Amino acid sequence: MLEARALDYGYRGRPIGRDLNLSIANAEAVCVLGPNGAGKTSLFKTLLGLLPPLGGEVLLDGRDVSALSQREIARKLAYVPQAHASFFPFTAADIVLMGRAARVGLTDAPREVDRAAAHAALTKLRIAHLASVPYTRISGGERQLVLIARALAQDPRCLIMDEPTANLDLANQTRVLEVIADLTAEGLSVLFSTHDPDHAFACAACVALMREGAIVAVGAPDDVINAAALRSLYDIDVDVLQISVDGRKMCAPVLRKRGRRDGP
Amino acid sequence: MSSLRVTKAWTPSAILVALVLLSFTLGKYAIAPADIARAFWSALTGAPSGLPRAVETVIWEIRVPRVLAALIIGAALSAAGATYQGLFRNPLVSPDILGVTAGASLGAVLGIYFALPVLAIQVLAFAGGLAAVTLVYAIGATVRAHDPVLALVLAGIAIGALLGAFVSLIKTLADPYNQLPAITYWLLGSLSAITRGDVISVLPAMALGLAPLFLLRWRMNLMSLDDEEARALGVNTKALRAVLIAAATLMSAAAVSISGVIGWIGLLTPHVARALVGPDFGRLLPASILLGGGGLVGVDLIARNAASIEIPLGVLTAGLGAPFFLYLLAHAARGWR
Repeated sequence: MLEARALDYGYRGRPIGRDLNLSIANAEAVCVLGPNGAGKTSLFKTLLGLLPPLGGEVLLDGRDVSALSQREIARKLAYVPQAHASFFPFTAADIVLMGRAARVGLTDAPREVDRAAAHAALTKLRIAHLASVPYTRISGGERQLVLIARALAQDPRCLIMDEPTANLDLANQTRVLEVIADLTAEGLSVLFSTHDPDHAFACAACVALMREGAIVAVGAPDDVINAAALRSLYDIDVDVLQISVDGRKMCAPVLRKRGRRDGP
Repeated sequence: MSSLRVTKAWTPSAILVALVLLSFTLGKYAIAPADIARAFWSALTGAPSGLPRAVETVIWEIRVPRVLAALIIGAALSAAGATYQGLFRNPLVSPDILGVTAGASLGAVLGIYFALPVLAIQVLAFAGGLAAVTLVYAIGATVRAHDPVLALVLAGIAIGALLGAFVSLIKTLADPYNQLPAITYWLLGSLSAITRGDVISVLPAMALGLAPLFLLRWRMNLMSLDDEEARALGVNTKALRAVLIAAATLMSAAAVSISGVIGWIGLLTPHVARALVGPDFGRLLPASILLGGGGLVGVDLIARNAASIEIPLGVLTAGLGAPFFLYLLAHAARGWR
């Protein structure tokens, strides 16, 4: 579906990563895990065609992304940015409708089919009641769901989500993880980044560990996420446990005892 | 709710019609509403109006061109303001953010300094406005910035200041008895010397500017998103921004070229429009046009009638606009944030 081959990415004069390989299969959720500044957001922007690759290539359904127009990319690949403030009080329905831009003619207004798609996306995320509420007046969690709904209204094959659980409370984080699991069950691919390794266990088939612009390990979460890997990634001790309810694993950082911490 | 919506949607139109009718009758030379009706009826049917020649002249050579000019200029500045506010994702942006006013001012001031005829001054103002924005756009596009919108705004501020310095320089060089008053007057804006020819001459530029704004009205909404976000949604932001800036600049340069500098209208009326009809550009554009047109007709009405001499429009728009702006700020009207 989406593949990076020998990708050099970053900004001219400030390369971030070299020779990176990553592939996202159909109906698969891939989780990117890495500390702040590992290059996750820049990698996502390069995959989306927003940042030109410095070398190598990004293939979307076998076609080089740099040869495609933003409109062509947007029909297959949707971007869910981190929930942000809006500058103007567009309603949630207006925002979701914007997801139809790649399917609406240049000088056209959205048609009934577009409104229906927007409404279906809102309904799917169970936020149809927010449709006429200004985006500026809803909570951060609701905004994140609205942005996911907008991505779905795009009718894409793959969603790229930049830290979709950041700044959300526990309930909204869980909702977002459930949505990711649902989408892959329905045949969509999802690439998302997170700071919580538990999210990879919860809904990803594959996890890529990133450090300093490079992918240092990739594979099934059960195989890749272990104490040694997390130590090399974050430089902390983590206990990886099996939880009893649904058998998935969870990570518990080990707090250093007083006196073992760095500094005086 | 829905009846409120309808009321709100009709408010701008009703205000506009009332102001235009009032403007035809009031002035140094008051004309009875019945006489106005008679003159229009005769123009439509060809039947003799039976009005004195002087009344006919005031109506057709002075009142009508002036009211039409106020309408068009207010509408143009307001439409440009609504566009720029969306493009720059900031409700506090006015049409001169990219230097259109500063460029037009330098053009006009040069024209006045070299004692050129009125038409040449207008052409210079128009060209100056377009040239300034083109320069700002070129600089903004050349600078490789993380945020292309911010690069444009900063370039606009710098070029605006530079052009302002040239205007000040010419003011110090100008003849203080003949030229300086004319320059000052131009920089404060006025419709007192507007002719029918002026109005007609700016119509093509206005139409040319308005057409893309109207055609791209839905897509315009996407331009108020973060640049990368809009691109990820499939929008060619670079091309679209260039077209929208060109359109808004064309309209404001044409407006300023015949009226001089009129501030505040383009900043304030899109605000009020947004509070009335919401941020969707499909509704915001017509509402801004109606309110801007009506607003300037209203302000010009005051300029002509409030005192024994004409009050410069720039003085009035600032005098009325700034307190109104502060009122909006204090009350944080809907559409503000």
